[in-house]
Amino acid sequence: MSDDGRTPVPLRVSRLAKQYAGGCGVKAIDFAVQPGSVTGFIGVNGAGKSTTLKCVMGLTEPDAGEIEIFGEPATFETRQKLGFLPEERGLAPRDRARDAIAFQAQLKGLERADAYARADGLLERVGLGPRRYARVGELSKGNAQRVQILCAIAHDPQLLILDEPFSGLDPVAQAEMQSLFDEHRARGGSILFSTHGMSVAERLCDQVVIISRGCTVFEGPVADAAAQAPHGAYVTCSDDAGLIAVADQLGGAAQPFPGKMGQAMRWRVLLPSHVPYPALLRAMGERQLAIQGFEPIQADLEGAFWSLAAEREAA
Amino acid sequence: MRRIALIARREFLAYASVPSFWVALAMGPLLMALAAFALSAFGGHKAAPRPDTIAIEAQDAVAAARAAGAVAEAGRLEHRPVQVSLAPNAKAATTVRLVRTDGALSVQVRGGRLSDVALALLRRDLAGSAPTRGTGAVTVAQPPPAAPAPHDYGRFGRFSITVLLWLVLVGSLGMLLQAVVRERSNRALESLLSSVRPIELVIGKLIGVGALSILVVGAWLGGGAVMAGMSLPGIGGGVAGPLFHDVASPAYMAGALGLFVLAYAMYGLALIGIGALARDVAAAQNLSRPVFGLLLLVFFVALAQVAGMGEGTLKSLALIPPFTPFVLLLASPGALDPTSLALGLAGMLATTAALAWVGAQALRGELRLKPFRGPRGAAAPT
Repeated sequence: MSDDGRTPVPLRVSRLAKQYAGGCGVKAIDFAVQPGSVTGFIGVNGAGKSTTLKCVMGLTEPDAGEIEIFGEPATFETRQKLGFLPEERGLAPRDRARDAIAFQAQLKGLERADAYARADGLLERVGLGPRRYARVGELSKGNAQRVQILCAIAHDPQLLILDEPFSGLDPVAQAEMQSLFDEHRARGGSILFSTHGMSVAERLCDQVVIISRGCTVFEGPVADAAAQAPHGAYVTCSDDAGLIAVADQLGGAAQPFPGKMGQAMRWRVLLPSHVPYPALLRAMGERQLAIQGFEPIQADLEGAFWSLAAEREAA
Repeated sequence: MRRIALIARREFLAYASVPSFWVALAMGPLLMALAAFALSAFGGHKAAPRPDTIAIEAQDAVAAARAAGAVAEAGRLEHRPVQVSLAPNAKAATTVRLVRTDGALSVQVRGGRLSDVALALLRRDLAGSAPTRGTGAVTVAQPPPAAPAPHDYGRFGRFSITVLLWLVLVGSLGMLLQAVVRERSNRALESLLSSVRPIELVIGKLIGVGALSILVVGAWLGGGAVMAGMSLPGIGGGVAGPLFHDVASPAYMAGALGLFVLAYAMYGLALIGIGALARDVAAAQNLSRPVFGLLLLVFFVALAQVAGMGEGTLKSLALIPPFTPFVLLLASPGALDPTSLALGLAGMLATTAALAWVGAQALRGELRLKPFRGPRGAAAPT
């Protein structure tokens, strides 16, 4: 049940594990999508986002764990309530736009006439009405992706699962996508979408699920996630040992951070909450460390993400 | 069922909506019609038939004259040239001897046979001839009909049908392979599999392309039937009659169609599995080569069967599923006992069911090929 105890949770994933022969996959994924919410599924490339979504959609068999859809174990029938935009985008190039959408809608159970009416309505909605008879292969990449997204929502699913829906979309198309999200929510639907774009997630989501190396490291409201962001700065300097000593001196810690600046290592320096980051600058100046880069850590989702991912790494 | 029908319809239309498909489809009947025209034209230039030579031997000149008249009249009625002589003729194909015993007249035919019309006219005319008038019926004796030649000309007709179905099968399998690889290369497989079960996708594609194949088989066999209808009556006494006698029956055609469907399902499911494992067209072509190689081997076995394969080998091959449909198509009626037939069909059905499961698993991605590492250690896409 959902937080209100009355509505079944659209999606609950518990202790999900899936390992591929190559070694990637997921180890311990736990989260729930609340009714009427937009949930961001966040992780770096290879963290296990797509694997998790494939398991949810039945495209691959998990090794362990449970998946519930609207309070019932995930089966082919319960998955019919879901709309899915896979990571691998593609439609038959010879299909006409309205045929492609209506075909997916019919597969999900709509009658032929209803499916075509729905397809035409959706194409009008995103400004592709005049091109409804165009073949998918004749559409621009962005428009083809819009058609693909319309295929996912053609049967008006109660839960929409989208794998990286914003990749490849221009700002106008992104804005349209957001308004489609809003309309879906207004009808009482829920959305789960994966992304590695923190700003998008921060802007659109009520909830976020952050995963790192195949494990859930955070699940909750965006504001709570942002509060997890540490206090400190990303620093690059000429003397790594000197920087570590400065961090120690201030009661904090310096951790290597992905991405070098030239030959120099990039460090994430975490400070106690009572130490402002200018104090770090001063201490580095006193030690005469040549600062090549200095960027305060923002108290936002991105900061929280890196912090949580680093904690997982350390664990 | 609804989802299977939708997939099948989509697959059918993917090919049937292209004009070139219908042009290619029309080629079969056109070729058949050309063949029929050629056969008819060939039949029309036959040399004028040689007359039957019939010698009448009788001591009674009146009876002999009547007999000659009756035989000649039969020739006229039957549109056959007949040359009658009233003297013993060693070169005559047929000799009619009139023998009078105790006033009764009997007719003894030797060498060839007289037609029923000629015999009826002989009885009529000789019964009224003096001095036998009113003395009773004329008895006739002639050799029994010759036994037909023991050659199994029908195997060539069956071979023609088998080659036709083999050609359609190979073409259909290529289409089916394309149909599966297309989903992968269009990156549409995940989208489809989120809406349909893998087995539904497998069966839907099989039915969609299968419907196209049946259309092609129908067009070709229909063309064949038209050809048979146009040309066989005219050349029924020639080579084509015995060649196509076996296969012209509705029972054989229905059996051939059934075997084609079974063969298509078995080989088609193997190709679907291969197509699902392949990442692109090149990989699919490489992986499917053994299947097409096997089909080529089957073709050569069919050739060997026409040349006269031993009964033991025939029975053994009928039990090996890839060969079963073609061996059954080519086997002459009664060549295989019911047990061999049942075992062969059961083997095919079991193989087909196993391949359906493998195909569904491959589509779902649960079966994966390990990347091939070349000499430089680079992983080839699979």
